[in-house]
Amino acid sequence: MMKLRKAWIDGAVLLFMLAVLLHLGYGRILEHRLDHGYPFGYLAADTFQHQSRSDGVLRLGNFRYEPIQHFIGIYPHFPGYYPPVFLQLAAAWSGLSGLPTYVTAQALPFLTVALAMLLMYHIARRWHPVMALLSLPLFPFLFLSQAGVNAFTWGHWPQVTAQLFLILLVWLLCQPFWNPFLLAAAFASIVMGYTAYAPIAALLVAAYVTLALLTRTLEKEKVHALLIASAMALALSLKTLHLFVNILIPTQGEVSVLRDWAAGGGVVHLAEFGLQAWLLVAGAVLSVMLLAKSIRERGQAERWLPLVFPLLMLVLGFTNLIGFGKRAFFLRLLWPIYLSLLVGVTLYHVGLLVGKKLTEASAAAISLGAILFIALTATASAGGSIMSPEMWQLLSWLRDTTPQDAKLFFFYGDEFIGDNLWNVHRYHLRVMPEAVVEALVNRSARRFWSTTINSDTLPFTLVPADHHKENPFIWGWSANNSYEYLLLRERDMCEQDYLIFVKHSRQPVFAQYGQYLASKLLENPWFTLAFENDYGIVLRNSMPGASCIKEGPIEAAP
Amino acid sequence: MNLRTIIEDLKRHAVTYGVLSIVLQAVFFRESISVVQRFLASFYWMFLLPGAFLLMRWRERWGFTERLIAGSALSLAAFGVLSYHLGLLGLHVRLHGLLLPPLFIAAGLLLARGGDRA
Repeated sequence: MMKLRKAWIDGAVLLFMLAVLLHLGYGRILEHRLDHGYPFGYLAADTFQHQSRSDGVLRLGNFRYEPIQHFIGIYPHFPGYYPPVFLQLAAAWSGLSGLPTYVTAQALPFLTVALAMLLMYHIARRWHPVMALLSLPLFPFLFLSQAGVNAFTWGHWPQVTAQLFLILLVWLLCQPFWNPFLLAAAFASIVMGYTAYAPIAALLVAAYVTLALLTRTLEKEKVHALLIASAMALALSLKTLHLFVNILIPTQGEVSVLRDWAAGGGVVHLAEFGLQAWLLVAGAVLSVMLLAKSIRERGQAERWLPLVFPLLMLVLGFTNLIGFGKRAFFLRLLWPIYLSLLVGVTLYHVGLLVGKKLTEASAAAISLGAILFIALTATASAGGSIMSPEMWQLLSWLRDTTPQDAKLFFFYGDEFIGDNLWNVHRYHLRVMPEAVVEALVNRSARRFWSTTINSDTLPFTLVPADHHKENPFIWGWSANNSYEYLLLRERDMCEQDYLIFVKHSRQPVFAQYGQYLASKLLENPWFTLAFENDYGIVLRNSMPGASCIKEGPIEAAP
Repeated sequence: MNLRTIIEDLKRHAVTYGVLSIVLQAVFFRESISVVQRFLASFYWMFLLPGAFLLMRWRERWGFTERLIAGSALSLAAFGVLSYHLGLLGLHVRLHGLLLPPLFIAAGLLLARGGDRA
């Protein structure tokens, strides 16, 4: 009966927490609607990067080649270099459910974070069930800081998703037995989920081994399981590691000391946890004391890992100061999960200090009350989208209607931020805004425009640009500092097959000028209006290369 | 492990699915039931159901809730890794959501025949 009651308390608390957190994060950001008919809650380019890449994987059927490169056709066989797990999950889920990739790619980080919280709670329970229950009020902070919310609306999706696998690894390491297959899945998913976390996985294993050596409890079977799992994981992730070494390290492998990261949506700071920050710091001190005391008593190593893990993640969150850069900030995003047990440790000992040994029922009541209070006072803003239904309709029309080898030309649009246009899955140019400003200042109509090939830039940043590989293992590519020349060039508007002009802009003159150009183009009989909605128009050029506009002063005020 | 154990587990899955349906519909109260169900059913089929089965061998050690949670994380991990390789081998990613979950469930049941050992 008692066991049943405890199980019920546990289940009810977890369910309540799950509901509140889904409401606070996922529900609030999406304004309580899963599918708006277009990407909603997408507030930065990276969101579209991951969504359109997943969409590309779904269309190609695999991630052999970078989909965006494959579709635009300049380097069609450039290998799919991005850590693949997130993309595969989003694409496969969309393929099965029929839900668009903008729903599945966006949902994954929310759902994996929910699982991460539930799993972390079970890790904490291995230390102490009451402390685990008291740790729950830190979880809502995941969606209370602006940086935390931005992680979901600015697109830190693969990084966040892969952190579930770090927590899975800890859960597995906390078990009294180790299964090599389960460990291999965790290791491989970390490397293939976000390769930069592989050293953290190694550190977690090292922490366990150190604890086991200190407590003299390192078992031969566990060492065997670890070796077998490592070998299996290495075999599974060899291709990802190979691409990581040859593509990502030459271009993005810089060691950087960062103190802030406004461009990435901000940084989670301990101070944002309010009163709980003090509980957390006190919990860290108490935990170190408990560990020192316990290790002297020589307990089992897995018994102490739940307490070592948060301490480790607290320290790793500050490695931005020694060169881990933005990767340290990614870990901080999940601090409310990682560090939660530290709060539980403090609250439990505060209870002891005031002479009250808390039971599971009273701890559950305290936690539920605190979670509810925190949720009701939540303030971090969210909602909205860069995309609009009309813009999505236009992009979808281009993707579904134009020939695969069509050349698209996007004139100025406030929302043309780059990665969102990848959804056309065609070669496309984007006019540089400064060129439009210059033309407006000169009041001139132009045929040649400063444009960029709107694409994943990475294949262009590696030299040699033809991606010739002399050595199958180390390709010897390096970052190309003058790559912009390949992308940014003056190009002929008349050579493009489809030209896109928006109807509205925050600066109306941009849209008016675009409409003026469109009207001039339509004076040519080989230009036709192929698509129109409230957002913009698409012109079809059936004679690419023919002179299509008279250059010189504009004939009437736009 | 016998058929009764599997049926008991399936009953728990049915209850869990029902509860999650209510929670998700409450969170997305502006969404239609059909979209919420398509969302949940596909996610449950791909990750939660196979996850719990994958860890069935250790059902005495871990309760259903813990097995479901840890198994789902494991299932997401294994799915992502295998899906990548299956794609490279030529199996279209659209088929992975259909084929991998039964494979995981079968693997879990096969493992469970060995009893609660590492």
